[in-house]
Amino acid sequence: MTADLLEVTDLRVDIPVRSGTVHAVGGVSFSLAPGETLGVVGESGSGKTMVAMSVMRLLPPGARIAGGSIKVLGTDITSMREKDVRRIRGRDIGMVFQDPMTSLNPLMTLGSQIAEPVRAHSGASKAEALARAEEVLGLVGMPRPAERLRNYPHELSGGLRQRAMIATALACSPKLLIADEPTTALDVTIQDQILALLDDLRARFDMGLLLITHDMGVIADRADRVAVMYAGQLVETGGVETIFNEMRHPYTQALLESIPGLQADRSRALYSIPGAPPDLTRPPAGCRFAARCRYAQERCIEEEPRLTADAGGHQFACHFPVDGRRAQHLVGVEVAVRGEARRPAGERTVEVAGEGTVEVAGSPDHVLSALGRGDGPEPTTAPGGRVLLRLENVVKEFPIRKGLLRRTVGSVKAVSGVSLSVGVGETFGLVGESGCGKTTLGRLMVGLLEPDSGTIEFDGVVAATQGVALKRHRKDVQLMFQDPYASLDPRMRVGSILREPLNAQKIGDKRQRTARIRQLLEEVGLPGRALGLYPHEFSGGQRQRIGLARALTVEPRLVVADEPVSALDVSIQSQILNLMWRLQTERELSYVLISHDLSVVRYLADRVGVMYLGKLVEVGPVTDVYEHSAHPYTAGLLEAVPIPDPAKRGTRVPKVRGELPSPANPPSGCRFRTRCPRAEEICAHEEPSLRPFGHLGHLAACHFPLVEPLAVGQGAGAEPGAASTVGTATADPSGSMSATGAGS
Amino acid sequence: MLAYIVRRLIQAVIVVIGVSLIVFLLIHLLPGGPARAALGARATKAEIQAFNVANGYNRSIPVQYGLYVWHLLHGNLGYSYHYNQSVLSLLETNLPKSALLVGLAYVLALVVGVPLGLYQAVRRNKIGDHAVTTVAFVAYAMPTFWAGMLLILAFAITLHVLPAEVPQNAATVGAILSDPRALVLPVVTLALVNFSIFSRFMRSSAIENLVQDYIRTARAKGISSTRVVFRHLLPNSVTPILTLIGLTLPIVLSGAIVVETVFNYPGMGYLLWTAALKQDYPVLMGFTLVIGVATVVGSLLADLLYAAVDPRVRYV
Repeated sequence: MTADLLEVTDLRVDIPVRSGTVHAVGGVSFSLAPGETLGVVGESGSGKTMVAMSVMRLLPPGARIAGGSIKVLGTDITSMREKDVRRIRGRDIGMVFQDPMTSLNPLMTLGSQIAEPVRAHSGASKAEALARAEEVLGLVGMPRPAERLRNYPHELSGGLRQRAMIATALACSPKLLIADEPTTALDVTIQDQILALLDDLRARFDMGLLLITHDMGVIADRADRVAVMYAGQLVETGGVETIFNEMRHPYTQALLESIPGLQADRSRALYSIPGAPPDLTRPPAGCRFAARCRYAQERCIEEEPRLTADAGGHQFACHFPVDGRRAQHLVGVEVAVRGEARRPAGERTVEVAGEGTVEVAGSPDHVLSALGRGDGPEPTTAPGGRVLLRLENVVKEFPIRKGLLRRTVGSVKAVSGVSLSVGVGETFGLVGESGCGKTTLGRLMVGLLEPDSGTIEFDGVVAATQGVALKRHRKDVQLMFQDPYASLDPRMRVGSILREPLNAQKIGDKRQRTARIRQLLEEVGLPGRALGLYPHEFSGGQRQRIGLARALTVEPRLVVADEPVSALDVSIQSQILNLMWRLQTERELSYVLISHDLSVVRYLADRVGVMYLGKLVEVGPVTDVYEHSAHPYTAGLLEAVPIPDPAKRGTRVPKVRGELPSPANPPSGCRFRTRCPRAEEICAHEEPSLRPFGHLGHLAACHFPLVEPLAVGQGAGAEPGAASTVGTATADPSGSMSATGAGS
Repeated sequence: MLAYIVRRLIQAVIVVIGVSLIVFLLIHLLPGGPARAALGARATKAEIQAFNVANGYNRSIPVQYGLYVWHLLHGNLGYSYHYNQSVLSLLETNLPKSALLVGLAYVLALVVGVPLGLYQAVRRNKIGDHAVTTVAFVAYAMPTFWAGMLLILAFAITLHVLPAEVPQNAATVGAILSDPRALVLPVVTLALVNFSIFSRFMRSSAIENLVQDYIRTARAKGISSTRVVFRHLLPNSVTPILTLIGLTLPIVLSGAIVVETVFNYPGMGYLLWTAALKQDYPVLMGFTLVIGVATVVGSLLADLLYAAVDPRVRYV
């Protein structure tokens, strides 16, 4: 490749720590040409961010470049003086960071933040710099850029803030743009908009784009070439088609298999890479992936494979390369009816080898960790047909107070009349953009919040919101949290964390409690000695196991899991999903799975509810809702999910425009109408009610649905009595849904 | 915003009433009583009786308090029988002088403490950081009167570079300012405690902010590190200091009493000290009220400054 914009050769980054030196990046080489997008993909700790920060010479304190060279436009920056590097930063290289909520200075106006690099690098006057800021804000598609200059970051939504971030990076027309997880913190609809913007800007200004992400879907959608990193090294690099269709490295293969995707076979357990990445203070002598590789042999442990190239620039570092196909044909031999799979299946799912069991890895046994899951006719019915949780017209608003006497002047309408039911042993998925009220709804279910109106019934009894009965309700319904780092008390040992719910509920004596938590630890795949350790001594995946164990100590019947895997890497994510699935079959648990990740919900949930601005807009069996979406919002959400297959790129047409309106002041009529491509006059006047679209309780609230609704009376064949309620404008959808819940 | 200020001022009134009530009760519990203190050990019973009647001290304590508040509402803070002046006029002459001392001490503590805290955060765990930490802890641990005496010993008595006290006939702020050198030692002494508090809080706040994403963004723009520190780090780290300005006011005011005594500084603290010895009720009450109001208003001002610095803070 000629005229390379960026050429990294044998880059090494060391971080000295108390116990030695972490070799965070161990000899990475790649290059990037103008106008090209190189996707760097890898799990957390793989060193991808370290590479990006090295290119900026902005490594965190302590970390240093220990070897190799980084040539930007032909000049090696590794040996440059800080003063000279500063001239390149922001001018030749622009950088976009992950979280737009924290990456902008909260105390400075957008104008002065964007103008800052312009003034630093071109010596422009304040007015000139501000004019340029306005210009780039326009470039990144910020509405009314001139007004925005005076705005502070907190006055903008996440998507607009990320646009401002990109504008800052673009202000000096850099030749190289580094985007480190630019959309990870954003909703899928906004992610789509931002990625399209980055792509467009790259093409227009012939910039090189270094796109760092953990999301194979984003890579497939946007990258020209891909570099796969593992444990500080490049294991495979090549064109995007090559990596996805002719991958040779087992890690690349495993990574692709771990993604649930929108097409994943729900009947199989997800493949999960057993174990955890090696300790980089003492990296293994041989192949770094060997301990987790299903094809590893003696030689892999002894001899480090070199990066070798075949024709066409496809490079990989492996002694026993795979043949380029995803290996799912190897696993999941068993096909059983899903209903059958619901029975205790502990011995079938050889669990997802705990992350501490690196030693056993290398044997072919763990291939079995991806055993079959049955799939039958889509179950909207809970096994046993009993409704466990029923919500009827639940409303929750948070008041906005103002003025001398703190009068309520308005309210955030978090949940506006949601009715649904969850059956015994069922998984109910709840999806929607951030701010749609799904977390509030979850908290209402657990009894952490009290509904303003409407009822929540648990097992046929109205759930208490106070006193002893609430305590009992909390025993039956438990929460599992998103962030395994923040949701466990750092100063409590795991034993105390797990014992606490038992103490609170006064279950058993001391010995029984210890016995129960020991058994639970084993069930979630953690060693017994974990009891005496603190949360920070575990990896993210292990902590999420602790979180799940904590939720299960009091033997709840329903677990509300709020984004249980969104903070985890894909390979770990699939371990947790498999574990949740296994525990459900063993314990007849019901889950409410709240997630913004549509693939995760599709994989785990039996039925799904789509929320928009506090309303349930569509609900039904997962396959019905995903494959025959009736509501344009559901279809738009699904359309926005990047598919990990480069062949599908460019085929998706974004359907949901703009951003979520304020829940304090939702649009009249159908709340989605402001972003809906099908909206007409009536949508503004009349709020659509849920009506049936299928015999199995598929309901959607739309005046102009994407598929034909059932005619009034037609639904009655499947569910006596349901259609009569649903057909009218004042329909109470819970009637029909609970009917399906108890139906067959 | 206006509604917020009004609400806070209403709170302030309640606080001040509470403070005045407690102080009123406490000084009336003191043994001896004002008459004995004012008239001396040889005063006859009849004289004391006459004094008490004249000043209303023969009435019940609730009635006395009620009368006090009634007079207060009419702008009458009482009359000092020790100084033979109205409390209001005493305040008028002495309050500005104390305010000057306290204000200068705050400015000094901020000007030195905030940059040093920033410096410590940037050079964390280096020798300079440890040195400043040591100085700050020594300054914090040392009693104010002791620090004052040491400074007098060093700079006034041994080195003869600075005077040990302000001009004793200085009746006004202007008179004090006529010899600014005399202010150095009292201001430094009074600033020591606050300097150490400010530098410690600034250090930890800046360390917290240094690892924030927006600092990384700022560095990625290629601007100078000085600009990163002063334009991005400083404004984001300074907010806890603003709260502290309000919170430390009582500490500084009580420090001022000590400093004024040690340096013979003719301010409010000195006056309060004498009034306490002489059981000069009206003066004690008047000054307590001033300190109470100053504290409440100080923390209100800090909160308003907070809103001025941080656009995300909106008081409603």
